[in-house]
Amino acid sequence: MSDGTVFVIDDDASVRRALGRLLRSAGLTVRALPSAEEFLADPPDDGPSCLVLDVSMPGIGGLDLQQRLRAVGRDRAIVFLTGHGSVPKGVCAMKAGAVDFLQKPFDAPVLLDAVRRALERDRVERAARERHDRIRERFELLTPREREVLALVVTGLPNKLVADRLGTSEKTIKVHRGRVMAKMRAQSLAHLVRLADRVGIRGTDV
Amino acid sequence: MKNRTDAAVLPSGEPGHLDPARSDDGRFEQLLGDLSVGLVGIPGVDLDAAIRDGLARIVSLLDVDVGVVLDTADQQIRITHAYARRGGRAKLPESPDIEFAWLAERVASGEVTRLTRLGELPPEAAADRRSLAQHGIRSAVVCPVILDGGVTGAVAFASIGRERDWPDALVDRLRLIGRMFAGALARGRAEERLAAEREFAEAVIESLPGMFFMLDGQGRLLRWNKNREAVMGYSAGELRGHHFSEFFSADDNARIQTALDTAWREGTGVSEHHILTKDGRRIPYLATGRIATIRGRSYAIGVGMDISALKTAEDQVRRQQAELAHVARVSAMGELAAAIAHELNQPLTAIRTNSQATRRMLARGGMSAAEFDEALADITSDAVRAGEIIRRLRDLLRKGDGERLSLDVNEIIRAVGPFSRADALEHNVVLVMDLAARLPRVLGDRIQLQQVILNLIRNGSEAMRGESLGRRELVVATTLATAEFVEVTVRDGGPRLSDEEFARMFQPFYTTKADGLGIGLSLGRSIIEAHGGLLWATRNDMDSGITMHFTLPVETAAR
Repeated sequence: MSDGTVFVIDDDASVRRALGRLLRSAGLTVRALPSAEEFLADPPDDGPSCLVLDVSMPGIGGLDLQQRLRAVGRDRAIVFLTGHGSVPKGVCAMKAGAVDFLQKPFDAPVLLDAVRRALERDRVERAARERHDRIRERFELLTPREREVLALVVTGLPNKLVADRLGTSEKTIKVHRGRVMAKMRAQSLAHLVRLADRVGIRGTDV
Repeated sequence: MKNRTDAAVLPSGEPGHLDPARSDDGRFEQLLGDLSVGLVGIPGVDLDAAIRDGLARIVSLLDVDVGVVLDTADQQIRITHAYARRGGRAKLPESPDIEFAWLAERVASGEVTRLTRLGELPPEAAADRRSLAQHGIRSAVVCPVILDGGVTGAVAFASIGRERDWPDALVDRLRLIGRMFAGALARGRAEERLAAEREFAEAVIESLPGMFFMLDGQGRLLRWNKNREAVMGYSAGELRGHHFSEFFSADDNARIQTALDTAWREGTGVSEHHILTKDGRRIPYLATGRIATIRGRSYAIGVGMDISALKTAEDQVRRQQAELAHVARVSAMGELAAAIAHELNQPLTAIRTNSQATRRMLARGGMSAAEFDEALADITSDAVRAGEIIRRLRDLLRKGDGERLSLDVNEIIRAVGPFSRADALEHNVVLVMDLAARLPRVLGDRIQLQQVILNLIRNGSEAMRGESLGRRELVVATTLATAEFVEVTVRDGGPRLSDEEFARMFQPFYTTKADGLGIGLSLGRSIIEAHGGLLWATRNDMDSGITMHFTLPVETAAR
């Protein structure tokens, strides 16, 4: 559970300190910041993390920060805190992928639960991202010719037809296919199809 | 016909020539007496007929054919009355002063002209002679009428069939008759003028939209109009001669008497009170009057108006204003409540979070005394902070509505700071305070001024809703504008307003907000103006937003 850092961003120093104390009491690592600007100026590295974000802050508010992070593809698991329960803002934040939207003053267990869910989502998303990255790395090893063969093979075409399509012999295709299976570390055709799907290759009609 | 008999009995210079003036039978004297009595007592409208009748009697008595009365007013001879015997040759000249220029000249100079025969006319009267001949006249007398030293007209008699003499005694009598006619006509004209004046005055009094009154020196009602009878429900008999105090309530009478006394002293007076109708209603009444002296006596004359409609309208306006103020107050209270909720939320959140975190840590036994102390210190300071907000709120709502106190404008702005910051935060606006040091104090109502400032900050914040973040800055500044005025400005970076929006922004009920009432600015302006200051707006340079300004007189200048 101590896996990950919780970034607390709230302009109220006292609330910030209290949040830090509470999160640390649950064994979490906390980094508290007074503004979204500071967070953006020194973006944390890609370790496990989530954000506890105040909606109403001078300058860049919580919702603005969420949008900015999305815009640059750095989605974060965010728990929003608001001083007054503004329903439209809450809906907006949840639609944009917020984990939760809590009204101040909140109950400690509720916040801790939300933070845990945020970290869990971060962990799941991070794992998925890593898996995707690994497959992508393998795919990057394929030659252009091997990628063509992969694209046709995953559509279920037998070697003979793949050879016809690419204007080469069935024997050559067999060799390419073996190399593709090895580089992608696929145990079966079905496995190869799943891996190809992960990197966005769904069989093309060449 | 009698005259002929007379002529036969009383011959004069010529045979058959009748001259009653020389007769002793007294019929001419009788005629003179009848005329003098009859013309004096006669009403103006019957006067013309009486004069014609008189002419007829004279013509008949003298046995002549034509008698006329002439008027020479306006430098022109005009025939006002005429009588012609025997129905023939009654055609009267249209322009006697042209046809009879020489005779007219004689009349104007007051000379009697006697013509026994036309041949007596001098050569220069050739035209007159021709005209007389055309009318068939052979003999005539023209007697100017002299009244109050001037010629006012003439009487003339003429004989058609024959020539005759006009002896002195007859001429004297004819001149006397002429004066009697002229006097009666003058009196008739004066009477007519008087009657016209009277009818005019009556018409004026009746045309007045209000209730006319004329009181004598003792306060008794002498004249009034139908309006008064209609409104009050009294008949003429119930009004005439009654003292004014009978128509007002006892407590109003003192005031009316004061107004009357003022009028007697200064010439005019005004009083607003209630008038009592016969059926016991009280009608709001505004009376204005003046003292008029008529033939040496003074009267209080004037008009009273039923001002019920005006009063009703006034009440309505007052009620609407009160409602508006109430709405504004309720909405201000609602906004204040939201601001307080937001302000109190922060320390409450911190306190709750700290308490729960501390309990968790204590339960695990992993908390040092120093950490424990630190948490409790945080909780205490947040509790103090919450208390401070409550205290400021009490300040904000402190009683003293309308009371002018010596105030520091900067202090007022700082006091509303937390509430306005809540508004600013709501809109992601950075609030910048740029307050002048050593600002003189002003006289004012703290709550009202706070309302104005809060309102301006809220408007400014909301105006920047659609702006990019970099522009969302609201600057509240104070300066000493002149030696007499402190100026407060609230500058936003909102969109540029169109000319129309800018022109209309101070109008009540004009709003660009979906949920706005549109009374904030107009209310703010009334508050500031009531403080002796001004509230206005300017558009910022560089295409961004507006600056609201208001001034307040410094304490010494205000006194």
